[in-house]
Amino acid sequence: MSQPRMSQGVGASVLRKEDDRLLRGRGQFVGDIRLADMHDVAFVRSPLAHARIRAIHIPPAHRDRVFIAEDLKRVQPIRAVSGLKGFKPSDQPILATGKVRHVGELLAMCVAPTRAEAEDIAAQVQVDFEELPAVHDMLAARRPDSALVHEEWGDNVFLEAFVDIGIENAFDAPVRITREIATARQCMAPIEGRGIVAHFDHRLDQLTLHSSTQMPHIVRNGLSECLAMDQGRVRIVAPDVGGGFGYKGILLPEEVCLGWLAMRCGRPLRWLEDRREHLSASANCREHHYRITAYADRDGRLRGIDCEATVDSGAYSSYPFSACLEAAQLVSILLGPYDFPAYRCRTYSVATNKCPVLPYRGVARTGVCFALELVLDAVAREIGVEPAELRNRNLVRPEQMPFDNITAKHFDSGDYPEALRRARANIDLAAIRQRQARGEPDGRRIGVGFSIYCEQAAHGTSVYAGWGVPMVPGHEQAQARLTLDGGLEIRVGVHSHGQGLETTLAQVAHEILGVDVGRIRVIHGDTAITPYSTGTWGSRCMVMVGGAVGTACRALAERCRVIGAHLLQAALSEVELASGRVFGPNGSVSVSDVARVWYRRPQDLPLSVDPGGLEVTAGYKPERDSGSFSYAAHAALVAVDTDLGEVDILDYVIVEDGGVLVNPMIVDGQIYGGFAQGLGTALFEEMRFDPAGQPLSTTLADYLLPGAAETPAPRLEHMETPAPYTMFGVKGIGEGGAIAPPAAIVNAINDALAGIGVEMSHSPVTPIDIVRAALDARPLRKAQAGE
Amino acid sequence: MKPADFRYRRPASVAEALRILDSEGPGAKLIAGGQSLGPMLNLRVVQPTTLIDISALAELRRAGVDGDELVLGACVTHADIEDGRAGAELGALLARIAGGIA
Repeated sequence: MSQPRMSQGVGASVLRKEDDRLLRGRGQFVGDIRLADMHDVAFVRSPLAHARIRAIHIPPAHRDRVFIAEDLKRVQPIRAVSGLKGFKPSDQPILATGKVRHVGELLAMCVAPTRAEAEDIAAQVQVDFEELPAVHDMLAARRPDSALVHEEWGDNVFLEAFVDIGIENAFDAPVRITREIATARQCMAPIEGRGIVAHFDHRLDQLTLHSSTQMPHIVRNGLSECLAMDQGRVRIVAPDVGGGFGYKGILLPEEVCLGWLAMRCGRPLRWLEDRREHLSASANCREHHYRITAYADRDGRLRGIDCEATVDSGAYSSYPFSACLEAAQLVSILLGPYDFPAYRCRTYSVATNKCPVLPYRGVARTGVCFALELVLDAVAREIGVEPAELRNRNLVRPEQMPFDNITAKHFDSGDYPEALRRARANIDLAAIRQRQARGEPDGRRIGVGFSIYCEQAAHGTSVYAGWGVPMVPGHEQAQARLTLDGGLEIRVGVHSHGQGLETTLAQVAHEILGVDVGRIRVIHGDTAITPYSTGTWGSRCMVMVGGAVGTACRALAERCRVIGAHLLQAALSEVELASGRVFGPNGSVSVSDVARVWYRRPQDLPLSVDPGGLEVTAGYKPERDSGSFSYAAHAALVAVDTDLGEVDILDYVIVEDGGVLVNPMIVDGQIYGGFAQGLGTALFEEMRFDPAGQPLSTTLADYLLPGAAETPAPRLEHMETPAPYTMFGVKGIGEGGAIAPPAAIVNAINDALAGIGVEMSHSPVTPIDIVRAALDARPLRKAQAGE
Repeated sequence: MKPADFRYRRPASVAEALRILDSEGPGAKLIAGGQSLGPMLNLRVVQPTTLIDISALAELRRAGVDGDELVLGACVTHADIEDGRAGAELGALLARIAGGIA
């Protein structure tokens, strides 16, 4: 851990302010909100993946408590269009009309005093379906004889994209390795699911929707568009949110439903997602397929990557990220942190009869890292070079920084080979190779795997404008206000749900104004009282909002200095603000003294005082908005039992560089949490479907998440290369922990099993996969042994 | 919780629990801690007509060695074993194992 620079400012491991309420069970989540006369909503959801709706029968006794699509007059479907050429838009109905396109799609909403009663009503609503063949496999979906999710398209492809950067220059390479690599469909599984409480306030003439969301302002945009309401009549409140990870970066049809119904029935309404809805209906992530070829010279110099990648986008383009974000990112980052001279990639974003996908922590990068790093290990095995050494020969080098790779990614700073060198030394590669040569006394096979990535974070206007999705981030704003008693209020439009922003943004403010962190309140999660923001996603908050808070506090500091200079009877050039005081040649006044004068004794202010007073709203964007690039090298040591299929992680090392860390303790926590999710991707988590499109992992007994017993503590090592374009040199790092573990762990498994001719090329690698592969490899081994 | 409607009974003795179980027929389910049954009720995976709550039955909280058998009552919790409330004769091994159960 790097040494704290100040007790509370940038670089200090300040304990998280929000933990006082969260650890005492005093958090206020949507499920904790009780409004007078509130009723509950239960949804009738499609039991089929693909079917025409013939009729919906509502018991006459409940007709005034059940609402279907034809009741939703003037409500617009959710439409998330990408500006990329050839993108085919999908209209996501709020309640299904004509067809259902995935299991769990909303058909009707039922309202009653309690959820149990609402469920009773929902159970009595009968729907006549004409079942259609389901599109459940994204590769089969591209065949001309496939059933169609959206008939009007003529095929099942949201978007096909293609890039070719001199791939023909690689064709003469002597080594050519091709692999088919796949990552499973996953569910993000935050502890708290989605939840909504909606009510209409007649005094304010305003619909207030409490929602468990990462992006309240974006929900407000989408909701007011779908309900055709003035924005001023819509307020979104996101209270405490129990984890997001991308799952809560979407406008839900449920939000539109509850908003519409709260206005119609005139009472507060609530819907809380249950775990089955969570796992089967709302949104999934991560399902990629790669056919990837790496070209290399015999000495390990990489010559090019040629890839065809397919992403299962599900039935609808989700708002605001759209059905193409995953593949658009994939094509732009597949080359990882390496210096490749040639590249070709074709991607397909495919519609299937599954729920939509959303970008999960790491977005496409987890899949991309998996595909690239697995194929690099295959190259290393082919030419007989140590995989870490192959990487070392091809990483972008520190003297090349800042580096523009051939897909025009601008790597801002860092020393990638050094991160790899440290990971290699820390896990002690040489000792592992000796241990492998000796063999294990218990008969297990051990293996070591590396993976390395760089992560574009806080990428802004220039990147998103090109994708043309409904949300393009611009400047980020923050408001800073000194209160009468010398406290500080910070208002931001992003949302903090595990990132610790109530602490870290206070640290940024403290760094500039010197106000004690305990007296700084970071206020977020309410569109009525915070500046506009696209929200929390893409590891952007510390770069963007940290910069905005810093900018606002610097402006506030200047105003304090002007007033302080007057109080000290000194020239402005003679005073400076430090540690919460304005110092002049003959004394000092505190920021609290300045605030007291502004609010209570305006007669003592200088005539030239800024009438804006002690509150400032300021905006920020880094000098370059193409993103900061944090990076990390991961190394895993595993023991594999081929009889039981068990993978035991013996050691795990992460060497990361997130630039200047505002709070190293919180960064460590982010990395631990991300690692646990990466471990889930590697070994446990899979949303399975049958050929009829029925989700098979609809409870947490079927959808396996790693628990405490399965999650070892990785050993962390920090490097610090300040980002050149951001305030304080910070880099976004929130997602990184989840990116590299699948590649490192599966590379380690493959290293362990290389001796018996087994190579895994999918995630998750489950015990049965290992046992089957080991059994399948047996005849091969016998043949090799000449039996 | 949003289970389908059910009747709730909380017998005071094992004999009474058995009587209720007999009279209610196959629609009855026993509930102790509810760790498994609770989520299933919530998701309506099971919809019993009657829930017989046996958590008040002291007779079922007994644990101990009987001859060469270890007897654990149906209402002895993992926490009871882990924290030694189920009796010292269960030993450290079971306590350690119970501590590893989520």
